[in-house]
Amino acid sequence: MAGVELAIGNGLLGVGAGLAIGLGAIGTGLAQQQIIAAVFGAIVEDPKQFGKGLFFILLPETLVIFGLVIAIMLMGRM
Amino acid sequence: MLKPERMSKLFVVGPKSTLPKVVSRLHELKIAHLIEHKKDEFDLCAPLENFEKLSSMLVQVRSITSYLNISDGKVAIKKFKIPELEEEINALKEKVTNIIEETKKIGDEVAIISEQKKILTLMSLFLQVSPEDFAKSKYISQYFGYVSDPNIKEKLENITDRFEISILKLDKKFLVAIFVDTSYAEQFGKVLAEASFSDINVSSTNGLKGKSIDLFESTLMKEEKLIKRLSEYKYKLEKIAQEHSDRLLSAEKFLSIEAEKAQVPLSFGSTKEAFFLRCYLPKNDVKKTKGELMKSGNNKLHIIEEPLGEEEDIPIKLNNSKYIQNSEFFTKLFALPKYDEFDPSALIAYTFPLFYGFMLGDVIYGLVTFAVFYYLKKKFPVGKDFFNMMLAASFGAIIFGFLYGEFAGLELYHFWIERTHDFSTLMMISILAGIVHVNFGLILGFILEYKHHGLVKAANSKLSWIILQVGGILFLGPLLNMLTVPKPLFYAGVFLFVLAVLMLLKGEGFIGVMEIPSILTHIMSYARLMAVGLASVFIAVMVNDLITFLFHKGILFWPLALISLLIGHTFNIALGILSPSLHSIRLHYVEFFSKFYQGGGKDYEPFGAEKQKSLI
Repeated sequence: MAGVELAIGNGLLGVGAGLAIGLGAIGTGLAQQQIIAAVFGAIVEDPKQFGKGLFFILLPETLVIFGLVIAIMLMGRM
Repeated sequence: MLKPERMSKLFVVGPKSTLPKVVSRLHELKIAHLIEHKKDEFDLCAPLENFEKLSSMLVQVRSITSYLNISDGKVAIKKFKIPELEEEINALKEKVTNIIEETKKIGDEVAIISEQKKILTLMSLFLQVSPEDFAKSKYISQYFGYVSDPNIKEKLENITDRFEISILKLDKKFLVAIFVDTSYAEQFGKVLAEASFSDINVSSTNGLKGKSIDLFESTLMKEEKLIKRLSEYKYKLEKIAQEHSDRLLSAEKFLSIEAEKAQVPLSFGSTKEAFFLRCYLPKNDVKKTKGELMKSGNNKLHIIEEPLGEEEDIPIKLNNSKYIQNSEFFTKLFALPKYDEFDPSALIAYTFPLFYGFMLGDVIYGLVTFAVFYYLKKKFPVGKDFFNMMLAASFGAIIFGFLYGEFAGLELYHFWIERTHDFSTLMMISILAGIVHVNFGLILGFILEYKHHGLVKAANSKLSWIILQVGGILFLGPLLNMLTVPKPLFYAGVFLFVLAVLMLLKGEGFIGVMEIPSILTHIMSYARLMAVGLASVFIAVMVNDLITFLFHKGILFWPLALISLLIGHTFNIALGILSPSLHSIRLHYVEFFSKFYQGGGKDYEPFGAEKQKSLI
């Protein structure tokens, strides 16, 4: 029985890790979608904004990175 | 190095007779950032007397160069004698404008003729119709144009038979020429409108006499002649442009400098007989500049160094060694520091390549990006600073590549960390880098705050964050089962944590307390050092797996393997340039700068110096 429980536990950890990255990525995507639209608007107005725009697009990537950190921490407990 | 160049403020007074010479000298020195005088009890100084003449000459030269299509070339600045130059410009202007006006006239004629040609072509389709038929008449209304209704003739016959019509089918429409007694004009107009009649404007052929076909031929000949004349004029213009381009360009440069000099007294103050000016300049140059100015003003000037005020908007001249000057690009992209702030260029210059290298960390990729940026640097000298930074970053990637033992995703040996397996070590190093970097920022912030607002304020708003971290680790670590510490240390942690919160409340108010989680997220954010790197490695590994798979499938699959090798790794290198560099600079801007840097300084723009071209 203990082995089964361990297997279920590990499985749940895996699901958790997947959720952490997946949901983080969705969050990043949702945020980036709006930022990218705005940035492209700005670039059309003034192409010099390209560098700054690219940088703003990157800001929400923190979310998925946190997801990855949590996932790695969970994997460590498997 | 960590601070912008120290500046001084000079106050110069002198008799107006010395003004031209002083201005000239200032322009040559290219060192004084002039402060505009606002009109108070002292009036603004008038521009030098030849200002209007110079600027009108400048406008003329520019209009000539634009007529002649002379683009900006590299020419040496020459000295000109102004009266002679004026004569030369006037003569040239007359010549050029004459030609331009002629060509314009001919152009208009050509436009009319091509319009006539169009109408005549259509008219000549009806043998019996000529432009004369459309001359204005009291008794006859004429219609010439297209209709869509093929039965137009029948419909018009219902009204009267006192009219003439010619119809010709062209594509899907019908070209018609109709002549009718004016008394029926209204009814005809209605019927034609129903047949969606679209009128052809024949006004340009009014007055032409003869048969359409003959007229058409004669217009063709006329057009040919005109075009020939046009090209003759064009050739003349080109010849003038060739002859005068160098001289015009250097005259333009000379005049714009002279006009700038003549105009600059507008930012000085004046009394009836004297002028005065204020300017910033680097402290080190004060002595030399004073001497030079004195000489130019025949020792009739009075120059004093004024003390700098607290709130003054002092222009910023960054003062860094050659290598660090490259990273000023990143500082400027964010914002120039204020006069009292630290100039973070020196810090970015080393940590940017370090972070980039840590993320990309691949010998082959590093070599490729090095080559790419070396090429770009040679090709686009404007972006030299940025490309130099990226060269340093690529060098960092090569070094870390050797440390990881990675060559285009292949781990050839294990020396330090095995990136594809040892995630947690990689993460620990990343977070540790975050702790060091963020706290370094806090210390810089503490120093600034201490200088400006004293120890208490500095401790409350900056040191508190550091205490908060120590307390947090000792107190939250055991609670989250991540750390075991002896009981007394745990209580000390609680105490420090509470103390830090109270200090924050005092130093930065409620907002500061609300921001407490941000210190954790800022440090955790450095996990991207690991994450971006891992993404890059795993893409490389996947590409390599695919290639190996295809390679073992047999010789037929080898071309496919080669293609995947090229596409896969090119794609990954492109990502490897974009992602690590942006993430690296983001760590500086968001996590690091927020601890001590606001920016918003004004650029140092000495009078006479040309504005340097750059990417931003």
